[in-house]
Amino acid sequence: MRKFLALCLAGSLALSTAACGSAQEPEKKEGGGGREKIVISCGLADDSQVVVRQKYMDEPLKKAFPDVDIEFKMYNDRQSLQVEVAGGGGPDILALDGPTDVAEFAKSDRVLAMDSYAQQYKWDELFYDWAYGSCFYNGKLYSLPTSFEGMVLYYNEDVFEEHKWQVPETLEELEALMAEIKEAGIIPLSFGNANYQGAVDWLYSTFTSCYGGPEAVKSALEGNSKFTDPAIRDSLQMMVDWWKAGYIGDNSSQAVTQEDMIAFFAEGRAAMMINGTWATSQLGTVYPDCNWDSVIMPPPQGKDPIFPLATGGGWSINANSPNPDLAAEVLNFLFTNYEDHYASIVEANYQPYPLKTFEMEKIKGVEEKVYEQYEMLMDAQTDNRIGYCSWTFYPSEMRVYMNENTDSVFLDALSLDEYLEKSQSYLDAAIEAGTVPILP
Amino acid sequence: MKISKKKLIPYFFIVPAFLLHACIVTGPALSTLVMSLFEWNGMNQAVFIGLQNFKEIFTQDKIVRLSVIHNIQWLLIFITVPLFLGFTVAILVSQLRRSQMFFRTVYFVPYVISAAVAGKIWTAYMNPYYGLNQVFGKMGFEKLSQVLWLGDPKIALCSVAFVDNWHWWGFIMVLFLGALQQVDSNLYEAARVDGANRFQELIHISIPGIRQTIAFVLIMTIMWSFLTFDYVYIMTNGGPANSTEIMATYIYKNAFVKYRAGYANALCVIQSGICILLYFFQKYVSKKGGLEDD
Repeated sequence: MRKFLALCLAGSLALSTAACGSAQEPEKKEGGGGREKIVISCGLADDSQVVVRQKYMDEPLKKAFPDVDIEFKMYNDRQSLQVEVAGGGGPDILALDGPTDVAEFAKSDRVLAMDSYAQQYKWDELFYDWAYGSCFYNGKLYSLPTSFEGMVLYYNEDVFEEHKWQVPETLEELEALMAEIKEAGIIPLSFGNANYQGAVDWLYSTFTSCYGGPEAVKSALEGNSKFTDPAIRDSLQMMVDWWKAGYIGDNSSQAVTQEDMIAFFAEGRAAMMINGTWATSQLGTVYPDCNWDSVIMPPPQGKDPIFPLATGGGWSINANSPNPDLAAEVLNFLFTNYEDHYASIVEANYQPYPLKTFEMEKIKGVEEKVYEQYEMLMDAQTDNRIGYCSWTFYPSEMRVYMNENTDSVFLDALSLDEYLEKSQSYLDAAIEAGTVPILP
Repeated sequence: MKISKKKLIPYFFIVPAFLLHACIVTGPALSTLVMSLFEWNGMNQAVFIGLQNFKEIFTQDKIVRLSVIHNIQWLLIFITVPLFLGFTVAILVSQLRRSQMFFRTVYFVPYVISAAVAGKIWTAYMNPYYGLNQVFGKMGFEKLSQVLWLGDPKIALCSVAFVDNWHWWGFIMVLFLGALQQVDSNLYEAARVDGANRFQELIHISIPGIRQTIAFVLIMTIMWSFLTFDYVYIMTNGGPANSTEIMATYIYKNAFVKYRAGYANALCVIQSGICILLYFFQKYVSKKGGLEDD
């Protein structure tokens, strides 16, 4: 009896090992009943966000593709998606963080070049040139931009009214105002990156474009001048000086989370905030009672205001996808389903696709301030007063270095010159390798 | 040669675990060693570059040196504070009769809280605008209320280590308590008969009686100090200004943020090498110090 029990135990252990060791069941690319299946990756969302997404994306896709099983699969982060794709699997359509991430996937042949689909569906006529151009890597199209956004200066209307402060129109007025705000015991510019170090790229992207000048940034990124040149250096020196004076984050931004950053602004603990146009969504849902407004960063006296632009993300087709043609068709539908897209912007604060055909009248139902932000975006594009945000226009390694070391400059652990020299070295390497994104 | 059934049967029990170990531990470990010799972004075709990654680690990368120093600082904190605290409290709790279970539970509770949850809670506690600083301010400790626990590069690592200590020391206490309860009570009686006081009982009976547990806890603490990741990642992510960057977080960043998986593999090899060296060093010191484990 004991021998029998021992053999059963050993057998069950062996079977459990075999179960673990067996190859993972390949992702079914066929839906139920032999239907084709398309899986689209997306970020984590709570139940209420899923319901909203189902209304504006899942249901329209079901109607448009009744014979296809289309599934949105949530991923904790890009790293989980990357590991799955690297293993030869993954969804058919990948939602990636932007051109710099897409470039890494493209380098590894993990995403398909979509030039033939672009010709078929005339995507070059669909998107703004600057957004479409940022999706190319080594001369080929690897993604389509899913949102466009920019950096603005938010201000808390209640705080301004209480202290009778005027919204600054020039850089000089802004600097004078920040001193006054600090004197009043309020944080001039709310900022925190404790739980997301990379948020510093909002700051340096804003300062280099708005105060170094987009021409200087473009020239440096294209290799015609240097990041160490005075225009860019002085703009970043100003950013460092503001941080040290306590204007940005009250000298404690490394100890403040992103959530706190918005909370401090909404509660009036901070008067202003440099943040992206995406912040309106969080302000609207989490702090509906916050009276805020936004302006483009005040320019130096006599100069035009600059709107640093970016694409917020991109959709690519997985090179492992067994249904790339269908995936391209689904992508085309998503970008041309204008009715649901406009509804999602108006009713759920979704960000707009950077489409040439975008009609501002169709989103008149959004909150007035959000509408004004989009008007600023459009006007800046029309007047070519655009700047360059790092997550769209800087080479990946340069951006990673700057994200990891800007705090060191704030805290005097690294000199600004060393920081700029090292950044330039990464830029030089990217220029030589031809991996700098295309700039408008 | 005929092998008897009796000799074969034990292998039936070992083989499954061995296969599991080979698939999950040995295989990936060997793969890490091999991939450390390649330039690889985690997705593309790896390119063999020999010892280039290691050359960069030892000659160019300042952050690696900083990370190792931070791990050593972490180690020094963890082989002293939680061990001393855990042992002292275990001695005290072992004297209790009725309320022993209550105190064991209370001190052990932090250990069962997930690092993600505890890290987030303590990050909020250490926020300079609310949490502990508010309490200190109201109690009149002005200087303390202005401390940037996670924002000051000089103390950020200690702040995170404090939280991990809070999480860890209860587990050490329970281990020591269990070991103390295994010590033969007759030895204590005999010592009292010979005129030994409490302190002498501690030095000559308790500590020698649990020396194997002490050795085990030491080696685990030393190795885990170099493998620690969760609290640093959750609370500071290596910042501010690399002041809390440790090997594990730096490996993660290289692998997944910088797309340098080959380089991250090389860092893993270095990390493992350090752990192995520390293991043998600790074994040698433990043997010399009489803390031999079986």
